Amino acid sequence: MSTFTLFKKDISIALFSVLFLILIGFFVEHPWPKDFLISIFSFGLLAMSLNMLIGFAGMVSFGHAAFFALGGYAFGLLLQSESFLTNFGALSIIVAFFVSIFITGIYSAVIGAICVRLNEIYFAFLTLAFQMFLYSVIVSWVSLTGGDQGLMGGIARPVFLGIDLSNSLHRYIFCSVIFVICILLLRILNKSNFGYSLRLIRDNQERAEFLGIRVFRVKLICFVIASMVASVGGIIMTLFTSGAYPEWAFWTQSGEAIFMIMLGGISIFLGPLVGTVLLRLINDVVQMYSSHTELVTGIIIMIVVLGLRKGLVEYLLEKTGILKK
Amino acid sequence: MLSISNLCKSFGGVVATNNVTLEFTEGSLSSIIGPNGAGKTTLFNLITGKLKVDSGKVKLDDEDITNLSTRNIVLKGISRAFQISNIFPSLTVKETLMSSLMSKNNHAEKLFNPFHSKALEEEADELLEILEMKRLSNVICSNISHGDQKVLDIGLALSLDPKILMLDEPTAGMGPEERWKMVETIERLWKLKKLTLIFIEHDMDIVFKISQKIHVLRYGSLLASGSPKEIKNNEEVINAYLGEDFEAI
Amino acid sequence: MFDFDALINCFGMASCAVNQLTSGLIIGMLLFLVASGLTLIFGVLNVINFAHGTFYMVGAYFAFSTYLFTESYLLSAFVGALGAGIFGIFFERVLISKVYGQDILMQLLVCYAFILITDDLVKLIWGTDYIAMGIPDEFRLAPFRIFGGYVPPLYAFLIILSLVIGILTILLISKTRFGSIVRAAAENSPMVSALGIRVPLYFALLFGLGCALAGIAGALAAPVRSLTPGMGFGILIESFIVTVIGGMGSIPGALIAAIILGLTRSIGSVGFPLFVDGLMFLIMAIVLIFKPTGLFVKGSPK
Repeated sequence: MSTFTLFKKDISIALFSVLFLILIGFFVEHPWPKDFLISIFSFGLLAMSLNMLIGFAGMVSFGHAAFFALGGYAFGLLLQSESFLTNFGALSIIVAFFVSIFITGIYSAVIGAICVRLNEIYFAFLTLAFQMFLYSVIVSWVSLTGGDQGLMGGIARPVFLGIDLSNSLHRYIFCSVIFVICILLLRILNKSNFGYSLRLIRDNQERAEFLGIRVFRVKLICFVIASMVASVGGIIMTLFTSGAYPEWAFWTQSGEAIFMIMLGGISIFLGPLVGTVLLRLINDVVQMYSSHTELVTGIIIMIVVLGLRKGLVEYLLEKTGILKK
Repeated sequence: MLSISNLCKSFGGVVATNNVTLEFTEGSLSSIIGPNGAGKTTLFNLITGKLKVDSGKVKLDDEDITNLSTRNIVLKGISRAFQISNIFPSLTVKETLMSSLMSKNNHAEKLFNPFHSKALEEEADELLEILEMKRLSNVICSNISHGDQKVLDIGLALSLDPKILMLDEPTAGMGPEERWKMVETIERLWKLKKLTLIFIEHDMDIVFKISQKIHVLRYGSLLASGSPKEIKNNEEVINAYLGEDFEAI
Repeated sequence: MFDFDALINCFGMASCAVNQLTSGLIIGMLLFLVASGLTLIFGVLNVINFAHGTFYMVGAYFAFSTYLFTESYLLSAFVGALGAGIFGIFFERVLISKVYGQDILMQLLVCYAFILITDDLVKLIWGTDYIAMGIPDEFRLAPFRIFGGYVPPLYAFLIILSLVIGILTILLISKTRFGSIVRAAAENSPMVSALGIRVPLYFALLFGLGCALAGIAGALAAPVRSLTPGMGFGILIESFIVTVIGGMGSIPGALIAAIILGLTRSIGSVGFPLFVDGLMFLIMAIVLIFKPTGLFVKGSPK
């Protein structure tokens, strides 16, 4: 039996979601909901892929945003390169999309090979350190990346297969399709044999080894896939902002992603997505009322972490008795 | 047949295993006994690849398996259960067994195959039947009793279809009644699966009742090996380990 | 990217070489102080203080304000250390100790939130601009002349004082009653509590000590670095690299690794300025691959 027939239910849910998102695109005139959703797609993929590490596999990374940024920068740089554009013409976007993901995959394989075999404290700190390495490269390599200012000047978006990504509706639909495909991929991985290998490692790495699981390999594969999905998030952001910015690679971006996961709950598949929306709303509200966003956000995090000691969503579900502890 | 020869291991300056030579014939049921710190668990760790051997050889059916990785040793057909039940707290009992069967079938790295497949569930059901744990199929492992966790731990080892099964204190932390039930289970599985079974045990009643062969370790060295009868009458063992009141048994 | 001629020229001239070596030693010694705090906290509490850089920053700002009022550099350094230490104890008792033994995710979030809050508070109190403290009056003296190079007295003082503080810390941990209690509690805290010793108090004091070390580094660095909110994060990453290379928990290891890193920085800034960070990470990666416990610690961090 093929994967398609076996994941029939998840695939149909995904199809319906795409349809629903496209309908929003067609029938909502105002640009705000579309813009809001695209940013949710982007950061949602960052959070969802980070949860593949944290929630599925128990690998707490503090440097996941690096791969988001790398994807975004690679994509932006390719589409700013004259020779790339003349070589691939109308196919530029597609080629740049896959090449950016591939570059992120290679980079994450190198970082992963170093970090994955270490204990969890080392893992968290090293992923953070390597993220800051990427950040310092981005900031100091001004001639390539534009340094502090970010990748300016816009990116080319040649029309392909009738899709024109400089048109906001086309762009929105393109991003929703990519987003849903990625979420579906994560879902399938979560429920596949591989997903259960990750659970074994998360629950009890030593025992998993005695069951013959190749722990290092499985963790590395997980790390690379999660990074590649995060890079898709970065690509969506680059498409949306027509640039790339060093803040994406700054450590606070990873901290934020961890908080999104925590808000939504790591044990619920779509929890991180809910967390992304929640954090986005919190940020917007805080920005409306205070110029000290960091201070307020910090206090909110403290309250959630030390007060509830679990995700907001998990907390509410347990309170209302939907989720039993 | 599993044989180990001149096995040595030390940690820093402390000798944990000192020149131990042993043989476990196919289909036998042997036990390893000795006071705390005699190096019993270390011996298991050396055989199963958890620790690297300093010197000496481990051979399975004349094939040298010394210092292979844990996974390769599992693939050769040696699996083990642990002193403190060592399971996966967030999975259900059935999922746990399905996972290890998946690993045995070499499907653990399949990215796009659904875990819940009919074939795998049937295989797990069969195993649940053998372990007499059907009633617990859908219970989360962290919620089952200590005794059941130990049985499940053994079930995990068994699911890998081993030739040799190594149990580290299978009855540790159990009440008397539970203990004998466990012993029955072990004997039953041993006969059913035609295993070579090696176990570490502190309860001498159990050891002398079911073992065909007993190996006594002390300070990392082999003190004696023999049938229960021989061990019972071995002066050295009595003096060193079994003590005065042993006659009472 | 690489300018080896400049490097060779510099080392051809004694003055340039001396300048680079002293600046390398200063970077290294300050880094050592921060890293020794980090490694001390880890060694005993088995917690990585992701917010460690914050105490470096706090120490620098406290020192700056004290200096404005008293114009005494030594007093400011003391206030910086004390302030960071007390702030550290507050952080340990009120926040991070609440998530000891819990998922590392919680610890990360508490530290993340704490950094956000303190960075913003610093902005509120001292403003967002770069602040320069300048060379303190006590040290406006003629520089020493060594091999044709000039070494400002402040630099010499910083290097020697950092070394002294490092040695005192090692002695405190290895020779005093406080040190032995803390070490025993790290091994077996229930046992030590059973002796009637208030282990949490000692843990808090140790945490404060670690933060004070970061604080005094910040305070001492105030005249030679510019102060800015968020200045702690860069040094956190560097001091982590130091602890990875030197071995988590080892103060002597931290000293040697910090000097290696300091020299890499100062020499690299002449020969390959763009590749300095890359080289630091490369050294760390190599150590991790071949000796994941760090160069000066036995055992394995698995």
